[in-house]
Amino acid sequence: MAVLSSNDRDSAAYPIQSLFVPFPFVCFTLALATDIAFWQSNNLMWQNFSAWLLFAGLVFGAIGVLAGLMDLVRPRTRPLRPAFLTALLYLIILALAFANSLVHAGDGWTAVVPYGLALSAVTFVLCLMVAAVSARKKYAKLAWRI
Amino acid sequence: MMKTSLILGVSVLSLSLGFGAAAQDAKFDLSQQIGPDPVLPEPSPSLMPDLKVAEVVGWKENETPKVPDGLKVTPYAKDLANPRTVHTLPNGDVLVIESRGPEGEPTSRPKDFIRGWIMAIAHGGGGGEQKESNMITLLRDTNRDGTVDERHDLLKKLDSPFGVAWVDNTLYVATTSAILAYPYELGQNEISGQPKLLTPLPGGPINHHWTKDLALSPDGKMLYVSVGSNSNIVENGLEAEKGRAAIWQVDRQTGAARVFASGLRNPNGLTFNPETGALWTVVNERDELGPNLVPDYMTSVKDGGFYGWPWSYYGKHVDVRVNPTRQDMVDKATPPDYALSSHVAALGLTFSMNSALPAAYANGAFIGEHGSWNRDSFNGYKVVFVPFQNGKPNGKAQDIVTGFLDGDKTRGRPVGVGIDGTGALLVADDAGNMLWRVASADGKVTPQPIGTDQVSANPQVSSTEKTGRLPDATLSVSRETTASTTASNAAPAVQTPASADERLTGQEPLSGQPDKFLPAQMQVAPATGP
Repeated sequence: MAVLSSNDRDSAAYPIQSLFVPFPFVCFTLALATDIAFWQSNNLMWQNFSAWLLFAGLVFGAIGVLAGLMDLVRPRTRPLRPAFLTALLYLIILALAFANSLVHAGDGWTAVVPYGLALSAVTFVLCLMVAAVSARKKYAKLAWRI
Repeated sequence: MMKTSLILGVSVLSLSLGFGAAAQDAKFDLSQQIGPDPVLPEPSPSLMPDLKVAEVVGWKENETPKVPDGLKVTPYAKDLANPRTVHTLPNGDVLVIESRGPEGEPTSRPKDFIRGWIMAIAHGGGGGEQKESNMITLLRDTNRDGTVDERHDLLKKLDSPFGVAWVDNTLYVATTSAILAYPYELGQNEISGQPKLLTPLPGGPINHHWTKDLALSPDGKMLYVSVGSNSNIVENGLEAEKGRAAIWQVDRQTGAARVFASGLRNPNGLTFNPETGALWTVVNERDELGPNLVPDYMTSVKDGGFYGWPWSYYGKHVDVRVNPTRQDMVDKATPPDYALSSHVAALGLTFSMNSALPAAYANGAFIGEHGSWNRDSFNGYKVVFVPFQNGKPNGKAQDIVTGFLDGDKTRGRPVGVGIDGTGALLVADDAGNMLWRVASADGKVTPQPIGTDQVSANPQVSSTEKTGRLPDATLSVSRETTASTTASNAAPAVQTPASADERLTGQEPLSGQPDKFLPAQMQVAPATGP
């Protein structure tokens, strides 16, 4: 039985971003669901739900960016950094969600239908894509897992 | 695949950004939206709503607003705590209603945080202990020289009061949650008696537009109270709008209330035109459709009138933000009489008849415009005069009191207006905490004080004015009036006594078009008793 070498321990350091990066994916996916619920039911609760989900996703997403930068400068987590394309798509997702929360901040039906709903759908598709893209990189697979 | 959705994403983004800026540019001539037939651009909601909030800096010593030649402006009262409205009693005493909005509106969305922060800037105050507000102060000008000689706090710790009316030794106070009736005789310097709750009004916890203005009908029997909507454009749900965006008619004797007119988003400044006896109001219209939509307006209010909110604006311009649509309500919407330009926040209205102001202002309306915060350049922050002829607006609005703004900051913001006991115009400045008096420069005053409540000679009312109690006969008369009003509103009433066999006639379930009997939320008001 091999005992973990110091090198192994270094590479196994926990990337802090793993704690925060999943939030936007979960929140923005649920925001699409609650947008659809609002579109179908016209129940204001779902519009508020979407607005808070977008808000929470953005806050934790932004913390994820900061954590990612910290991981980048830490030698023991640097090898686990995501690919450039993955990181870029992640930032685009946050930018879209920010625009989406401005749309959702409007009053009434048009705060969701049609542009809010469309932005939520585009954000969701990008979430799927970034998951697919990141799965291709060996280390990143680890980094994006809790 | 990836590229396509990226492009899609970006184009959706630019689409919603794009239709913001272009349509309503800065070149828009604001005067097109003053008058009976305003120019209405296409709605242009923007992703990042326009915002320009004036920080309140207050008035320095000897600083005053500006008035045109022939008028003179002086401070009437200083160091008030958010004075909103003024009311002159028949003996010339002036009541100042000082008020702050109620707290406790729930935070439903992330946006509500930001909105609360912006509003705090626009209303001044900021940090530190705030002076006690929510009170009514009496100002007495004993020798009628245009300066206040005595000052008494009549009522304190009210629940965000706004409108008052006085008749029959009773002071009616419209707080944000109820109309209260206080026993008060002219000349008294304090009110010690307990109030009677006349009619509860839609209050919190949401209470978005909280100001409840009050007017007394010329016959002295009815009170009219304005109840603003509970949202910008029903974002708190239609259920929250019951009895709101409406003017209620309240029986002064019984407290029974009904919706007199509806579809008025945030009506204030209820005033009867002394010439025609028609009820007039100024109304704040909806936001977030662009810097030049929707013009705030002044209108006469008809019994049963519907003025569009929320389904449409300025007559039949449909607001797509309201879902589901109600074409039947859009069809019913009456366009208002006179537009005052967009986002000026008209909150005060008084007619100039019976004033001692120069002849140019002999017949018309003074309007207090609190000023905009949700457009890219300031609008309002002044008092304007709209000339009237034969009880109708006749001509362009003229600036009467200006000089509130100082660059990107403001010294104060005008709200309520009124004619004082000497026939001069009073302007309440809720951000500058001042009361301004605008008088004829030649010092002319009216021969005797004229009260804000224009009760025409009604023998029954005036004969009992001293006792403060109406004889039963009057009571029954007013009850009959109420009863007959109700009957005429209801479905065809029984006109001839029906025999027992026929008694059920007219009681069958409605057939045909039941839609017609579906009242809108804002048309629902409780008929309450004491």
